[in-house]
Amino acid sequence: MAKPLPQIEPDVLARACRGDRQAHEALYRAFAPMVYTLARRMLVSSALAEDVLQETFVEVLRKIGSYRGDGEFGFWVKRIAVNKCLMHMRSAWVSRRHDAEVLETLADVSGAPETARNRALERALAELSDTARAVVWLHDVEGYTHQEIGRMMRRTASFSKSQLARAHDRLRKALRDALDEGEVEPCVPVLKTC
Amino acid sequence: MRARIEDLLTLRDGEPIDATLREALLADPESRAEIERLEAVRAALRSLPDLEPPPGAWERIAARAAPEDRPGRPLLRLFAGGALALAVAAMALWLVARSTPGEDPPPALIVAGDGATAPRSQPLAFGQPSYVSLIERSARLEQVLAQMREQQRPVISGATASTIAGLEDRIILIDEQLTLGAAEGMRPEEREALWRQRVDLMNALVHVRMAQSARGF
Repeated sequence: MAKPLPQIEPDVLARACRGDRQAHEALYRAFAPMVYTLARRMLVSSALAEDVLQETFVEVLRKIGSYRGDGEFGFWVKRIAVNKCLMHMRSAWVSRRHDAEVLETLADVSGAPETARNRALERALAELSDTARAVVWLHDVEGYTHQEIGRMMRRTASFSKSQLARAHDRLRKALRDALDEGEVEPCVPVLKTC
Repeated sequence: MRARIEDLLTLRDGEPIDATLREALLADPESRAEIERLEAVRAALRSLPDLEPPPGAWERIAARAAPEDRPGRPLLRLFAGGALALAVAAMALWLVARSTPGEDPPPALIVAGDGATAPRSQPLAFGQPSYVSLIERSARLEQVLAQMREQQRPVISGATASTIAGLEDRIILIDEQLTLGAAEGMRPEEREALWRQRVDLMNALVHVRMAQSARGF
């Protein structure tokens, strides 16, 4: 089961659709952690994640009048955020900027309750290729199907499947190395069977 | 039995799988342990904590979104939007025309927006005089296109949408070739040729967007 979406009161959503500024801010407070987390996990760089956060909410606020209420609002917001992340990933220019910022972001763990396991996981995720990381996150955490991921990436479901398999192969090695180096305690469930 | 990770993931995710293979995998202790491990990794990924956005992000978003909220006469706003898009496009053409292929790249030319790290007056990569210039032009065009996308209305004709999608797909393909090439040690001249194609395609995208502005859809 995918991560549950944040919920928002229907009257707040209705006011936001009518252009109420306070309701806009309430939407931001409700959905910003979801969007920022998604972007940070997919792109690793906190600077790029903030770009995605801004671009996503600017689009949400501009298009909220056209939101027709079919489907959950959080899902609509998340879909916009995913598309923004994928656009950033497609840009060779951004990927150059990205490389420089990833190390900086990984070094800065402030703002998140870090454990050895989380650090090992974050590092292992960061070491994946952009595409593999995106597929792992979208499939295993956000609950998108291979069909949906293939469509969003303008590829096929098989492409998504093979990326997921390769990513898990690499994650296994990275997590095993972390265990060997003593970065993670062996009693942590995720690594027990590695 | 050495199971393929694709099959184990298929089983983990409850997706359709050949019945014989399914039985064989479930009967194999090693495969079962591996499926459990894959489930544990997924659970661990899902339990990673949510991250708080940086302070002040809402204020920046509100400031960017605000001009769109102002009431105004629709016709005037449409005209202003079109004029702005044309001005942006004209600026793009001027910027691109400023450094033509084959010329030495001007030093420290880029004024990068949004904190993008441009290769300001860094040593020329691979000893190719036009390489940095191509990357700079590509970056400029990317900024211009982002502005045009923001200014334009989302409603576009089917033919225009298809042209844009076709051009964007080709750019994605080039980006993938560049990424792969970087990992596999692509020859400098091949890399430059790809960057040149990327700039040409982005130029074409700017033209399509300009035409879209002129037509109003």
